[in-house]
Amino acid sequence: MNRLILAFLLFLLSCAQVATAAGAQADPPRERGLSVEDSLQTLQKLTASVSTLRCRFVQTTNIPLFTEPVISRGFLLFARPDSLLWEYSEPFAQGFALQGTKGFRWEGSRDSRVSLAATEDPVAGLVAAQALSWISFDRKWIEAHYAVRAEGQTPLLLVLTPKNAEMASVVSSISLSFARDGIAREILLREAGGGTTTILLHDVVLNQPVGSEEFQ
Amino acid sequence: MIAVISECLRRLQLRRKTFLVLWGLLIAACCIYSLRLTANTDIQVLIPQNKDTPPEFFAYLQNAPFLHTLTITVGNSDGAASLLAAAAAESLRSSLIPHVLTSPGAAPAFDRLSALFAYLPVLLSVEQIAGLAPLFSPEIIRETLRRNRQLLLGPSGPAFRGIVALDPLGLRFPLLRNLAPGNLPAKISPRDGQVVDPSGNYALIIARPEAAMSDSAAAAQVMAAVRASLSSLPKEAEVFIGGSYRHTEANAKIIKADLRRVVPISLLLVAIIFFLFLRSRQALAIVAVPMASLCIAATATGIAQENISGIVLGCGGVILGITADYAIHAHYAFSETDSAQRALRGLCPPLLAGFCTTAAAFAALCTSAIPAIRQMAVFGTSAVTAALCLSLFLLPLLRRPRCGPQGEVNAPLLPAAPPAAPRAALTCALLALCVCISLAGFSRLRFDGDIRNLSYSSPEMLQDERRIRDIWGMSGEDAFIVVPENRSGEGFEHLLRKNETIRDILRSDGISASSAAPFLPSARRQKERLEAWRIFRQQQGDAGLRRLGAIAPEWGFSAAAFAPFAAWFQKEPQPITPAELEALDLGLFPRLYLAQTPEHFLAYTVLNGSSSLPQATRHKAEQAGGVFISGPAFRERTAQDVGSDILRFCLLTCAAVFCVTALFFRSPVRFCAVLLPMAAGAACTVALFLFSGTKVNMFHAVALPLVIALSIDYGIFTQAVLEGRMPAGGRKGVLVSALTTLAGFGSLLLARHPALFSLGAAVSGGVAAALLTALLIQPRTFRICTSPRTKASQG
Repeated sequence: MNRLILAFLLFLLSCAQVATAAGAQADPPRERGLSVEDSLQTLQKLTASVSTLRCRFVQTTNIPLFTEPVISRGFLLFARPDSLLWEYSEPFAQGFALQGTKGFRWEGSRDSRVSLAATEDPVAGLVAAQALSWISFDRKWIEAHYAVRAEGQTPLLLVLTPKNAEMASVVSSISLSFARDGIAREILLREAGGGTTTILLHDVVLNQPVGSEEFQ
Repeated sequence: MIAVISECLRRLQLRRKTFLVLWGLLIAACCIYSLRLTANTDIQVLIPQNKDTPPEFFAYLQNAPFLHTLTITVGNSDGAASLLAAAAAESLRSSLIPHVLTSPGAAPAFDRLSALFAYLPVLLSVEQIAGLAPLFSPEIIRETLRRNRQLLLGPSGPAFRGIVALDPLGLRFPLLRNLAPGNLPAKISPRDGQVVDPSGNYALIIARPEAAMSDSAAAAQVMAAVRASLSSLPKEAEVFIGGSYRHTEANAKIIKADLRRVVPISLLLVAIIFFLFLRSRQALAIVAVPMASLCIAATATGIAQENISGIVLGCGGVILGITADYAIHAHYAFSETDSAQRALRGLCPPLLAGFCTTAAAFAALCTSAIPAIRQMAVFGTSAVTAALCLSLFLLPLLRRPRCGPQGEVNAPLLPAAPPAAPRAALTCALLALCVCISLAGFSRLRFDGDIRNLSYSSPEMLQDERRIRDIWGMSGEDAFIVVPENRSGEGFEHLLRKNETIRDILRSDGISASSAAPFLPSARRQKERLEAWRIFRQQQGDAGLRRLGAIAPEWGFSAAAFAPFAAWFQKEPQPITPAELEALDLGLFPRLYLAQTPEHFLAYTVLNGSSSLPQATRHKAEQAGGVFISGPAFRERTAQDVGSDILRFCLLTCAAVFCVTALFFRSPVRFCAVLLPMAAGAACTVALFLFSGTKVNMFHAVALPLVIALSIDYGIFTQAVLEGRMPAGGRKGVLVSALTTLAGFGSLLLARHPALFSLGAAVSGGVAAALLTALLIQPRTFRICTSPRTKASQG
């Protein structure tokens, strides 16, 4: 279960980085008609060049629990080696930030933040603490936990199916769609219990200075 | 007595060949039996058995949480330790190690939590069930649903879909608080399904093999499997392994290696001594005596005891040196006298005196609370008895008779020698000095009751254990209450009742502890809770569900969103059984707290961060059927046992020594002279303990009476020679016998096992001091006494 959440973050973050890096270098793997193997190798190399990432996202949650799809918006910030901020601005203001071994989560204003260690929600702690582990494109881990297949070259569409039964009981697949310019525009999470969560990234800025106070 | 022995020997010599064959058959049979003995490397034999230690103590200890497991820490510096742990755990699972646990049970996976939720009515206390009522109020429902919506839309949302549908009102939270493990060391935290340290660099794996931790062969197999599995981890990964299986394996290995090293060296040294001092074919017969004695002793111990300890066999190997003494003295007596019967006249009194004192010293060990020492008593007594019989009744048969068996028994033993007597003042002063040193030193001895210090730990093991303690903040001090219950029909139910009573006692006294009680209440308590739940459900009933259904749309929840909750709430709740709990696969904790032996079910309650209990709480827990076991308390008690053992051994040995010596040497001054080597040996041993700062352990407790028993022999034989009761060669006999004893015990100094080394060091020092006293000081009192000036003054 934890891996599910982590994987969700991993792909969200790593694909944003990788895809944008690919776009920046004007040599996206899909344009050369590469195999999944080649694509993963190239993505892995490109991720290594990302030192900071700043972007906005729109999340659409369409699950049977809700009568209609719910739109959420937010902001994502990452700085190597170990700083991460994940913030929703609507419909609920909430988020968490990690910097080294310190971490906070908040609801409403950031002034209400509490230490992740103090929170009663173990999953939030797990998510926050492990997110940094997954932000770099760890291909070995991906292939250990997912079966990866390509479903389209233009745009490049990778579909990942969990190998782990525990994760598969929550997520049936994760689809990553890369646009023509190499940017991952869409992450689609299909849930095992029915329903989907779609995240669209936009306004991606790579390798620009990020102050450490932004994570505090 | 001498006449009886003499007559026996005469009759044996008349049918020499027949009795040689009979002796040969007996020794061969004992050799075959002793070679088939399996040395037990179990530390159980080192645990004292006293009124404070229940007979099943070792079984309780063996099954205690974390004590019968392997604690494996894996890690590297990239913070991905949980991945390593997952890979290692997967690799470790095998038929040898069926249970490999990495999850603490604090945050059970949601599918497991959903399954556990089904048993919520029996896992909440009656008070907690009553406390759920406010959750059904409109205000609380509204706020709870808002939070659920927020949760579902956050990054953790996908993981919570199922549980929110099943439990929209948060009934699970008191349940989770009940089940949260409280005894995790401070630095342990659950993350990514694994137990990781705050840096994320290390992860913990608990492996629980099937085999008993004291089974050395099984422990070796388990450790081989563990090493093979962990070898598949990346080279840069750090791995620290702790646990009793590793200790069992290491100790078994080291004891075997020590035996392979010590026994041949001991034999070689004895052979060299024999070559230097006993260059005759006749002397070869002496070798047969200790070898045969050991075989007979091993056979006797094997028959008398169910399991013979490897430690006892290792120590028994050095009894080789003691058993050779009788043969050596017999050799010199028979060599220097022209008839076996006349030789016996001179030999028997000191030999019997020496035997009585040594046998008494070993017999005193029978009173020990420690099984290993009692085994050593049987082994030692058998060995010296066998050595006496062989020296008196086999050795003469192996020698070429120098005269007929009908030698003149009443003929004078030796040519007339000048009368000799020890000088009273000097002898008494020296004796008093040694006794004072011994007593003063004895009162200052410090005792060590920590069995771990008798166990071999390699530097790598110590380093691993230190790192594990550092990483996880473990104190290494354990205390727990174990509830045993007979495996009868209702036994398990009674066990659960006692277990939850103990939990209630500890909670009411404000003591933090962890046990299986929250996971598995007794049937009686479950019945009470089910009744409380039915009342609660009747009170809340359909009205509560209708309220939830009415408020849910306000936060965008669909009409069917909480159908799983409604179905569960309306369903008749069921009690939880051990099989159902096991099927939930909750991870580490419920499983660790319950165990069983062939006779008992066991339930453990582990104290969190404390190794002691207030006296009143302990009393209440014991009244409820619990047995409190604490590492520090156990060590303190064992240290007291060692202290009282050593005092008792010494008193009993000294009493035997005084009686025997007084019987054989009836003059007070001669009595004191004979005691001189013994007193010097004891004083030296005690002084060695004091000056080296060594704490006296249970093996040292054996050493001191042994030194007393061995040293008195040197005094007795030296006195017999000085008084002309034995040939002059008898002094050489003292030297050779002491050297062979030193060879035996001295070779233990090469042992790497601390128990064997301790015994060797303590006895060698004492025997060496006794030997020097017997050879140099004891005769000097006679020279002064018989000098012309003394004679003149006496005249």
